[in-house]
Amino acid sequence: MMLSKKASILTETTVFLILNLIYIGILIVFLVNSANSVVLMQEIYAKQIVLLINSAEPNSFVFLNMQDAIDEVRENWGEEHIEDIISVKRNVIKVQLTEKSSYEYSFFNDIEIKNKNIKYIKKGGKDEGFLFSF
Amino acid sequence: MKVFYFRSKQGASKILAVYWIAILLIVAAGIYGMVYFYYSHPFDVRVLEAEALNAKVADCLSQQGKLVSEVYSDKVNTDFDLISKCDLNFSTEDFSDWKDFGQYYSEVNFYDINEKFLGTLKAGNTALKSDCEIQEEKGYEKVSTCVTSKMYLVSEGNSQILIEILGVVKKIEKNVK
Repeated sequence: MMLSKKASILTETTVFLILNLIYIGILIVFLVNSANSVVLMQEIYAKQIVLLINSAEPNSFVFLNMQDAIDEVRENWGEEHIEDIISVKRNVIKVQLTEKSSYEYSFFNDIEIKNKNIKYIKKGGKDEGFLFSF
Repeated sequence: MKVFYFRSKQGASKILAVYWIAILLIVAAGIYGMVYFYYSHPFDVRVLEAEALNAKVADCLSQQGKLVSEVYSDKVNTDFDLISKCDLNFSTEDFSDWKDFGQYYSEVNFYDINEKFLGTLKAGNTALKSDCEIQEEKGYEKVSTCVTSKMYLVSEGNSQILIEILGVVKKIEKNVK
């Protein structure tokens, strides 16, 4: 009788602990998903690229590591679309990480930049990104 | 005064479990609310944009610490076009009313060493300047962002000229919620 009571307390505690761990796990997954959302990533990269272009000098090169965005595209949109992530039309930068959503932001620096000036580069390992030549 | 006692340890643990679940739900709701609030707001990069605009204009007006003669020789050349000469392009993407209502404004004011006004150069949507005047007393978020930069340059005739550059960026819809 005594043993079964102890066993029941142990089971209750174990279930309680497991439920708490599941709860904490769900919260962590939610936080990570929120921080890595595609919509947010598109906005951040578009604005980052615009700031980069606005401060760019002619005849300069800038490499922007976009590993997380490239991984996202590779996983959800396809390897063949990696080169379509960044596009430029007149003075508007468009960052697209999925088939359906994209983010556009304009820059004021009248520097000559076309799609051919933005090249996807894989340096090896976890160092993938785009090289901007102005 | 009434004092309540739990009839058994099991009863107490059931009530505690209810409280515990309530606490967990409140914590989860709090975290969800904070995350939603933080990530639903766009990142405001207008200050950085306005600073970059001022730096671009400053670079265009000066050459090795000297004021470019095309801008100022003995007086301010008001025909100097900031847009074309400083390689600026104030057109924007087709979003909201941005195509019809310019989102940028740049103004350069020239003063002599005694802070006597000498002249001004302007480019972009002049209507945005009123947003800067509104903000002089109190900072508002849902108006244009204004950044002022000052520098001294030497003119062709070796006189010191104070240059005040005002950079204004509106783009409220994509930077403020």
